[in-house]
Amino acid sequence: MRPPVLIACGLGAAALLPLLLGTYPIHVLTVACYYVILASSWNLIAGYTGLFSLAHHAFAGIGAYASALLAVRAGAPVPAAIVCGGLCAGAAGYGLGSVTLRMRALYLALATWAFAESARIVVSMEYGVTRGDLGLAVPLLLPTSSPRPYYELFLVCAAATVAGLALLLRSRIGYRLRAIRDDETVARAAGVDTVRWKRFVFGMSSGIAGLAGALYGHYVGLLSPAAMQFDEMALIIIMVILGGQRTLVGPVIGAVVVEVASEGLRAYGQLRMVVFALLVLAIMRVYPPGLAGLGRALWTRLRHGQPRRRYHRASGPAT
Amino acid sequence: MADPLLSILGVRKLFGGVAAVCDVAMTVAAGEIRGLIGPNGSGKTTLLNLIGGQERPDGGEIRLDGRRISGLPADRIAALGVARTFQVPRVFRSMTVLDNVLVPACADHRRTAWAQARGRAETLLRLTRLDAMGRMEARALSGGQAMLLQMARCLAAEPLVLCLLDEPFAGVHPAIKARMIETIVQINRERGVAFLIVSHEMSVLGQLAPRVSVMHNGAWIAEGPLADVAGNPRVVEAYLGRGGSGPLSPAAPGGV
Repeated sequence: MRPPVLIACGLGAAALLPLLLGTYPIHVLTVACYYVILASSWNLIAGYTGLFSLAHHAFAGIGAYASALLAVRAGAPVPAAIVCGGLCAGAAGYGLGSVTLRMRALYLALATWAFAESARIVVSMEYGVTRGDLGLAVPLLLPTSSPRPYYELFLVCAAATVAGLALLLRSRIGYRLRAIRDDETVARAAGVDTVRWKRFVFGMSSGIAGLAGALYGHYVGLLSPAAMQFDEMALIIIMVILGGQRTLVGPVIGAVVVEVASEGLRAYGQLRMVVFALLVLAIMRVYPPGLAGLGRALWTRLRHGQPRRRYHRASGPAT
Repeated sequence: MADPLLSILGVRKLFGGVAAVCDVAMTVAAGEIRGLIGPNGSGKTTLLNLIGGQERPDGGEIRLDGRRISGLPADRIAALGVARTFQVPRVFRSMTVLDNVLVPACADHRRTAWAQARGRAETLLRLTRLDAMGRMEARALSGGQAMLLQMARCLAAEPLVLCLLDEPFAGVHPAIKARMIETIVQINRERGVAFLIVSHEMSVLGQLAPRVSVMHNGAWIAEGPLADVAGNPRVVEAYLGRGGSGPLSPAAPGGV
């Protein structure tokens, strides 16, 4: 089967799952779709562009709180509030991208982490506005609390995110981002306006995270600053690394596997995170392509009877 | 002589208290191939960094076609048609060889038709004979092939008026060296692109560049045909006197 047919079949099957599964598994899959969006958009900035931001969960939180506050305090219609939440998070991301332009690797990670923690603390301190740790009751998006329609909505949003990222990465913008990841100085010398595209990718990925966060808030109906804790960021990183970074399917597989597994292992509490952390360490050390790479290798072996060589040795003079 | 393509007017660059480039003044004509020589640490690479916009000068001015480019960001300078290679080959390692050559077509501040860019990229890969490796990740290339690839990437830019090559022949197999020379000559003839080539390979420069400029301790000290320059007592004292004749310290790093 050709890949597009395969993808269409997979999506169709996923859309039919509510017919087979009960309410709770569908809720778990809805949350998995939410994480697919977060992991994919973080893969855009960290995997494809090489900007290791640790504020992705904070942007989801900013989107969620912005949207919820607009709906609760200003009485905005929920769909409009969600869009505004995404825009707020995108603007915040653009701003953070602008002030961290010159930072690389560890320094960028520290600065974005500091931003995320500050955002969380502000949300929990300003309880007059956000109700802090008491939690903010949020109006629902759909007039039902059954997860089934939400599941279909999140599935469509996750599919649209991945498809949008695929298009983006195949365009000239994708070339620019990958060039920036590999060597910023050379990208610039080749004419890429690195400042512009680093800001763009910060704004874009944060905006997507904000939209997802806003959508999620109006699904669960209750927000608390706990969703902005670093655990969330760790979860996103685990999903992307486990699934396979710099691939489109990697974060999708990672998000579904980790979310479903952590529900299945709920009895073990925080020990789950230890298991995932060890898994991530093992994958980074032994098999960086992750589950997506493993799947691809198996697929190729099934089709061709032998593993495909990644590179063909260059003929020509050795230098 | 016609108006110069590139004018460097009293340019200076200080690192701490050390003048890496000190009041250099020189011009390069459109379509010229110019060599730039000098002992290691004489400021050749810094001069290329100043022209390409990787560093900003502390004094003086650089003009391209009469337009001031010193102080512009590197991507703006690239858009005006200045491309460069680096002394230690720098390619986009995780991108394929073909995609590396397509990056200049994705540059901002100018518009290139994609089909045309692809055609040019494929032509350049054939010219540099990297076409068989087009779908391979660039990290798999050898050092010499990476040198060749960054030259191809450089030449893929459109518009292109000036190409800065920083020791393109250092540590490169003779067969690849010959391919590079062929490519430079052909692009120079067909598209009228000017080249400023930093190199220690006197025999190659003698073949390629009608004129060479000489730097020593950050300063411009001589200019002219290689044969004349080689006889200049100041150059002999600064440079040739040390190592005798023949190719001087090939593949030597440094040059800042």
